[in-house]
Amino acid sequence: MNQESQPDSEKATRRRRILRLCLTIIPALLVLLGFFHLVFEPGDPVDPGKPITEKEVLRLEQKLKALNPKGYYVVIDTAANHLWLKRGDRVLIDAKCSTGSGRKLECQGHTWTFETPRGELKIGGKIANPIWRKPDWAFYEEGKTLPKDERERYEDNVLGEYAMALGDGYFIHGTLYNRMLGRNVTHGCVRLGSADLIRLARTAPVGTKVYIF
Amino acid sequence: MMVAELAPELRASEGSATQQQALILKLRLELARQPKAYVEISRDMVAACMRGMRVKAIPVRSSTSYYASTPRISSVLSKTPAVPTREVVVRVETISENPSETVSNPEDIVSVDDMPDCYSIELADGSFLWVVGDSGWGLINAKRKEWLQLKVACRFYLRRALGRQVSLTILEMDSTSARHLFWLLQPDMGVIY
Repeated sequence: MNQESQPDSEKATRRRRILRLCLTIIPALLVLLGFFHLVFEPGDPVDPGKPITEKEVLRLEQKLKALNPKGYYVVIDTAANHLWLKRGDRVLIDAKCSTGSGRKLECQGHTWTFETPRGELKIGGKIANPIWRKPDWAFYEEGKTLPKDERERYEDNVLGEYAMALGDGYFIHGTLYNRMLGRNVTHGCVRLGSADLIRLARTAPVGTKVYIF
Repeated sequence: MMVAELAPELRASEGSATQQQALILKLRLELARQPKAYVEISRDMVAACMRGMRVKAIPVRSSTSYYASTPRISSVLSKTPAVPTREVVVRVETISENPSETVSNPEDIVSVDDMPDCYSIELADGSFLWVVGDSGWGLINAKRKEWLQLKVACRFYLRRALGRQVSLTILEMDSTSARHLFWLLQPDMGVIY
C-alpha cells in the first residue's frame, strides 16, 4: 500500500511544481511581450496602393462634395435645441426649437423613450392646421385610461399652424409653450415658434432633407 | 476642414501630404455615404459632420494621442461616464378615468447639462478616447474619475501587450464642450481620429 502511494505523491508534487513554474513563467512572458510591443512599436501598415496624385485628391473632394445636400435642407442640433434652414452655405432660418426630453415612461408593460430620432430624415408631407391624434402614451402620462371613443383622442389647436412629417409619427410642429423653446421638453417631435414654423413650412418643400444630431 | 488641422501626426508621418490628404478624404467619403452623423477628431476641435458637411464644431483645449500614426476610421462601441448620468423614468402604477393628479412633470427632462464631463469612449477597433472637462471634482467623484482612468489605462496597455494596434487619445476641453460631445456621440457613430 505504502510502496504504491509513494510514487503517486511524488508525481503529484512534480505536477504541482510544474504548475507553479507555469504560473510564474506565463505572466512574466506576457509582461515581456507587452514591454517589447511598447518599446518596439510597429508602425501602422501603410496603404500599399499606387501613388496618389493631386488629380486623385481633387476627384475625391468632388465625390465628397457631391454628397452634400442640394437645395434647401434643415439642420437640427438636439443638444443646443436649435434649428437652421439652409441652402448651400446660406442660413435662411436660425431658430430656437425644442426636442426630445429623454424621459422614459413605463406603463401597462410598455416603455416609451421620448427622444428625437437622429440621422438623415426628410419632410415627407405638410399639414396645415393639424389636429393631434393623441397616442396611448399621452393618456398614460396623465394617469388616464385609454378612451373607449376614438373621437376623444383628437385635439386641435395644439400643434400650431403646420405639421411637417418626418416619418414614424415624428413631426416638426408648433407649440403653445413658447417659453419652453430652447429646451428638451418634447416627446420626440421638434417644436418651433409660430413665425419660424410658418417660414419653414412655406420655404422648405416636401422632400427637404432634415439632418438631426 | 484643412487636412493639416486634422491630426498633428500627419505632418510628421511618412508618406506625402497628398497621400495623407487622399487617405482622409477616403475615410470621410466612407462615413459621408451613411445617413447619420460622424465625427472627426483633430488637435483643436471635434467636428460633427453629415453627408460631408460640418454641422457642429466642439472646441478642444488639448489633444494627445498615443500610438496613433495615420488617421483611422472606427465607430463608437460604448460610452462610460466617470459618474453615472441622470435618468428620468416615470412609472405609472395606476390609471383611472379621472385621475386626481398628473403623473409626469414636464420639467423632468434630461438635457445636455446632465451629461458627464469626464468619460471614456471605447471604439470598435479597441482604441480609447479619454475626455476630461475642466469642472471641479468632489472627493467621491475624483475617486470615480481615477478609477475609470485606471481601468481605461489597464485595458489599453493590455491590448497593446497582446499586439493589437490600438491607440489612446486624451481630449481636454471645457466642461460644456465635453458634455456636448457626450451627447453627440452615439453607439455605432463613425469616428475619424
